[in-house]
Amino acid sequence: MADEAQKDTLLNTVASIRAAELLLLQASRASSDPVTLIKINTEYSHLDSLLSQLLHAQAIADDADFANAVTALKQQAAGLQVEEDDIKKIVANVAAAAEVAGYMAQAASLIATL
Amino acid sequence: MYWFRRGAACALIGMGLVGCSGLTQVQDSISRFDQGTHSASVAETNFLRAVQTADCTSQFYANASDWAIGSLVNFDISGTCVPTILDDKQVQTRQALMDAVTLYADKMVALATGDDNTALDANAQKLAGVLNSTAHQHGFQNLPVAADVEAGIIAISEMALDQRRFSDVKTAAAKMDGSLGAVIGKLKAENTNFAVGIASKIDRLETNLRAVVAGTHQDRRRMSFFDVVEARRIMRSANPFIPQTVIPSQNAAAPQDNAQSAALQLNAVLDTVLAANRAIAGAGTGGIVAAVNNLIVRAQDAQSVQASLNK
Repeated sequence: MADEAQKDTLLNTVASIRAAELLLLQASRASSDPVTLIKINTEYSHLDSLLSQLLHAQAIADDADFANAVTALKQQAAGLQVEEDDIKKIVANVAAAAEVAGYMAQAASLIATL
Repeated sequence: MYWFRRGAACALIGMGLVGCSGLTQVQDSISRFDQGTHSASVAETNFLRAVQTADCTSQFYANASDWAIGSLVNFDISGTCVPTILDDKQVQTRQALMDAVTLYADKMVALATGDDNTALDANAQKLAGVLNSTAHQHGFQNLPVAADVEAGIIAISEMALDQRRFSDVKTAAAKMDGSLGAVIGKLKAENTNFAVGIASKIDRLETNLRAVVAGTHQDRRRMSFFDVVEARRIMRSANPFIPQTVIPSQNAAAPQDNAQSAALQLNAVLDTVLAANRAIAGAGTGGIVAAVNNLIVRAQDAQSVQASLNK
């Protein structure tokens, strides 16, 4: 089970991921190019999957299950770095892309502290 | 004969408590408190199911589009799904917390009748026994349940089974306030977090549909008009908050806001359960009636909003 500090970290990470998702949704609405939209959808799906795991982890009571969930989250956090670079290529609005990447970097560094 | 006995009972009870009309008003309010608490319980259950519904709906459409673009080798139309945010066992455990709250309200009705038999019916007694033994055996293990929540469930279930310790509703309401608050506080903290999950799933569906519709436009050109219309129909069926008619964008709240406001509305209802209990413990008849009426109105509203999330 997460202690109070870990619970805060999980919820702050959820907030960062959700902020990135909302920017990706705006980017999706701004485009009608099928290739761009598929890429945005793929990135959004990765973030959504991570967000689901974070919410699931904060609702786990069993210590062993929680430790497994944290291990899985940390493995995926490493992949966020690669996705930050991908986002910059996909999202046409440079400022928005940098903002999404910033939120993802924030999420990765938070997960690393769990 | 009945009215004579009732009148005599009112006179006797009235000497120790309030006038007879005040007493029956309080009894009626306790009964309505029970009704409001049950509505709040249904709303909470519907909300938890809505988290699963949004999760599974998103999975269904994501799998369908993955198959359509060749990322999946097969498709599924059975609608089966493994929830990723809240599994069934986690929902059941949280439902048990609400069961403890409704059990308490049922017991208050039994106490408020004022006769010798303050026992609950057989089903409620069985539920109290199950909750009590589960909490004693730390059976809420799939819930990050704080010790005070577990103690709260034990206290409520023991109060429900007890026939001697509490003889009047005011004492019971005052004594059980802390236990009730611990259980309700736990549910409230999670509701706002799960609302983020619902909003994330609804938005994922939109990015998914946009990718699919833009792709079909390349093949179907003008006919893709109907794909846009169908995509909007799917969004409306998946998102109960989406406007039924097309409206100016400044008036359209994002799913994040809508799911959050549904969670906040639900949390406000849970707060009114506590407020009504505190009124029963400490307020006069007028205060109790007002607090219970507030609970009834809010709980019924929340029940219908949460039910729409699962349509």
